[in-house]
Amino acid sequence: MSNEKKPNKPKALTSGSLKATESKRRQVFKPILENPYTISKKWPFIEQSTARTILELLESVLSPVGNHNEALQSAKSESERNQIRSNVPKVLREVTIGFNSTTNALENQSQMRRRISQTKKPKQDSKNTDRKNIRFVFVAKADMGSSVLSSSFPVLTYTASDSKKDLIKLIALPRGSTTTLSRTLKCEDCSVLGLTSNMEEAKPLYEILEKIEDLELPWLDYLFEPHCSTYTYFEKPSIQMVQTSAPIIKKQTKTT
Amino acid sequence: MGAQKQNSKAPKSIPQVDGYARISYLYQASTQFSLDEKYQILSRALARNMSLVAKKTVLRLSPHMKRTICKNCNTVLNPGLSMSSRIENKSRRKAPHNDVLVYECNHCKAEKRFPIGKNREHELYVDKHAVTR
Repeated sequence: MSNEKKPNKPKALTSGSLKATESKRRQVFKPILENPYTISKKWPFIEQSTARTILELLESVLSPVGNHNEALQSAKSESERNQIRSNVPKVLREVTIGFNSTTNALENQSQMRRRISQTKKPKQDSKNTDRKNIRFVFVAKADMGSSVLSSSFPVLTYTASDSKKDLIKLIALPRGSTTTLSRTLKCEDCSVLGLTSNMEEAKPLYEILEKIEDLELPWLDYLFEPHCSTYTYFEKPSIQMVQTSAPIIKKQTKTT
Repeated sequence: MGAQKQNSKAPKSIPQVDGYARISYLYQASTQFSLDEKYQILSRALARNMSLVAKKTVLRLSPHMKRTICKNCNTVLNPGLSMSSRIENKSRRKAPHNDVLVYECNHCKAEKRFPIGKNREHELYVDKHAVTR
C-alpha cells in the first residue's frame, strides 16, 4: 500500500549501543524564573507545643459534631435521620469542615467585602445575613502531600479579611492531625477547617489563636488601602537554578 | 517546596538577567493592576505581554508562576478575587484517587484541573531539583 508509512530510519549513532548513548548525558543547570511573591514561605510560624494544645482544644470544641455525625451514620431509617438532622448541634453552625465548604465560605466573604467596598455601603449589611463569618482557618498542611492543595490558602484568607488590622488567622496544624480530627469528627475529609469567633465554649481556644502572628502579604495591601497612592511594591526577580541533564552532542564540522 | 540542595557546581552568573527582570516586572505590574477593578484589561494585557516576552526570549518561567495566570484570558488568578477553587470527584464511588482540584477563572470560566488524587505525594520537578547558588 502506498499509504503505509515507512519505518523510521535508525538515527546515526555516534557510539555503538543505545544504552551507551543514553548514559552519556551531562549535568546542566537551567535558570528558571520563580514567582517573585513566594507564598509558601509566608505561613505564620507556630510552635509545636502551641499547635498541639490548639489541636486538643479544637477536638474538645468539635466533639458534639462528631457525635452528631456518628448518630447520622448509625441511623437505620430515613425518618430517624431526619429527626437527628432537625436538632443540629450549635457548633455545626459556626464551623466549616472540608476543603470545599471552607474555600466556598472564604470566597463568599471575599466577594461580599469587595461589593461593600465598591458601593461604599455601611458594613452592617453583611452581618445581618446568615452567612458564616470565618475568623480562623486551620489547614493540615503537612498531611496534604502536594503543595497545590494548600498553596491558595494564604492569599485566600488575606483577601477574605475585612481589614488589615482584622486579618483572618491561618493556622497550620501539626503532622498527623487529619487522622485525629477525622476520628473526633467521624468524617473523612478533615484536612481543612474554618471557625467563626462567636462560640462561648471556645473562649480559651480563641485566646491562643489571637496570639498567632498575622499573615504578611505586602503585595496585596492595596486591597485594604485603595485610596493610598503609594502602593508601588516591587520584589527583585528571583531566579532559581534547576539541575537537569542534557545529551552530549558531538560538534558537527561545518562543510562550506 | 522541596529542600534546596547546595551545589558548588552551579554557575554563579545567569545569562539574560535583564530578560528575567523584565518578565518579573511585567508579572508584578499585572498582579498589582489586577487588584483594582478599573484596570482589569490592562492587567490582562500585561500578563499576555509577559508570556509573549518569555516565549520570544526563550526564558523559562516556574510552574508556580504560570499557574497564577489563566491560560484562556490571561487574568491573574488571585484566590478569592478572580478565581474559585474546589475539589471535584466525578467517580460514582467517590474513590479518593479520582480527586481533582479545579481552579476556575471567574472572568472566562476556564478551568485548570490538577488530578491530585493520582499521586498525593507528587512534587514538581522544579521543586525537587532546585539548587541554591
